[in-house]
Amino acid sequence: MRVGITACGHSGFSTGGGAGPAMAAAAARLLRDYDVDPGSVDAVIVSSNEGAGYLGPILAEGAGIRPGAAHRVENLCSSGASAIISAYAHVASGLAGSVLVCGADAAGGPGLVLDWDATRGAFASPVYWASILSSSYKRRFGATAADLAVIPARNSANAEENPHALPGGPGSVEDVLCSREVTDDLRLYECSRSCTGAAAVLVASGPGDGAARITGIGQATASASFAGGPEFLPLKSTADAASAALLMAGRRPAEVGVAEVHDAFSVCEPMALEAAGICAPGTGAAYAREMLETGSRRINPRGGLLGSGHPPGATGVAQAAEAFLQVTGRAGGRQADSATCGMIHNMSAAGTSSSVIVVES
Amino acid sequence: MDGGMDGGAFLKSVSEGVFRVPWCAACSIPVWPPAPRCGRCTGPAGLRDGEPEGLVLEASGAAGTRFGLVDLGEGVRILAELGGRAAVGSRVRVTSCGVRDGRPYYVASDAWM
Ligand SMILES: [Zn+2]
Repeated sequence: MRVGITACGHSGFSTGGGAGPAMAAAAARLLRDYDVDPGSVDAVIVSSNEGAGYLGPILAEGAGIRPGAAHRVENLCSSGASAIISAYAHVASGLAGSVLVCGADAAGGPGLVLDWDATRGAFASPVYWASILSSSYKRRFGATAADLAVIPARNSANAEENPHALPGGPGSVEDVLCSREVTDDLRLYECSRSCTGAAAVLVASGPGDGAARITGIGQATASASFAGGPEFLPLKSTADAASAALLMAGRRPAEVGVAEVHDAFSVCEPMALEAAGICAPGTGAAYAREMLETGSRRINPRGGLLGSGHPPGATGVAQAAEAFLQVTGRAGGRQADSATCGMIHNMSAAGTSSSVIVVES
Repeated sequence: MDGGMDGGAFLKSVSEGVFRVPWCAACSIPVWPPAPRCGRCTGPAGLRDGEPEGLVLEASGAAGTRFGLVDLGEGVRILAELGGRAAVGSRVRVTSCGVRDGRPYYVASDAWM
């Protein structure tokens, strides 16, 4: 069965407010903007790290939806893509004809730190694994802090065309390099910002004109702990998930015309592009500079996590909403060229697990 | 299970300043990340005698503290504060450890002899 994304909705990403109102706003905008009858929605899947329970039925009741299934998916920062893939499975199996997926989290909420992970010792905050990955990337490929500073500057510039993005990103590479030193290998603007926000997509059977077909899905889970697992291979899960998704779609990395990748920290973007085969090893940062100079919107056109803000439950859904807008030619001022094949990459906990989805017009 | 840390005997030993690799004697494998029981046979995890020696795989720093990813062998890896002159490629041992604010901390150093 063909399954696709047929509609999307957003709340603005901001520093205040709760996840509940953001979630309700994103769902309401989807229903209104795409003229979706709430009675036609068969299931509701919420992606969130919020402590409060029963968010699926709460969202459904507020939106006037009387679904069969209404439940929540939690998978830290990749809750959103995980929820969309669950929705795909509902539709592909015939359990539901259409599923509203809505991701939301609040600024400073849970879902960013994995307290369980004893292998991290005193270094539990994500800035520490990101620092290790950044240091490692520089050491292996001779990349400099200035090379990596291009990534947040470019993604922040892209976010200027995204009306839902959290304002306040860096205006230039200089801004990034002059921002506060968080660790020896990370400046403040190299870290995505926790914020409040929500995004919604409708996943439905038999997508027609104006929809984005979901043609590829790949997921991989290497471990839960940063330092555990049989071997230490950063973003191996991304390589495995991207390879599986592209194989299912029958596409090569070069055919991906637009991609939203999980740039939780600056180094994550080149590492993800290299793991997915879009860039050769060690060339991802130089590619960001090239895109900055040419104005290419191929990668992270909505601004990625660095430019848009990162409410972990919403991020994967916002990425999918962007891919839907891009491949259907609705992305306005941030439209990428040749964007008929789109990819999203959403990952959790230092890239110990990854989800990749390919969508096509 | 609430998602919180439950490192069993390992964390108790760490809290006493002694780093021992959590170990399933029946399976002859480390129980890592630390847990009260072996994930393979569900038998109780004990602690292996002896201080493990390791290798610094990656390193960074923050606020004057150097830290790194230390490989202690057989899949046991930790993020540890680096002591002495430990850097990427150094042979190290866990020279100090404990529990602070509910979290374990480890210090790995090349200066244990
Ligand atoms: Zn065992």
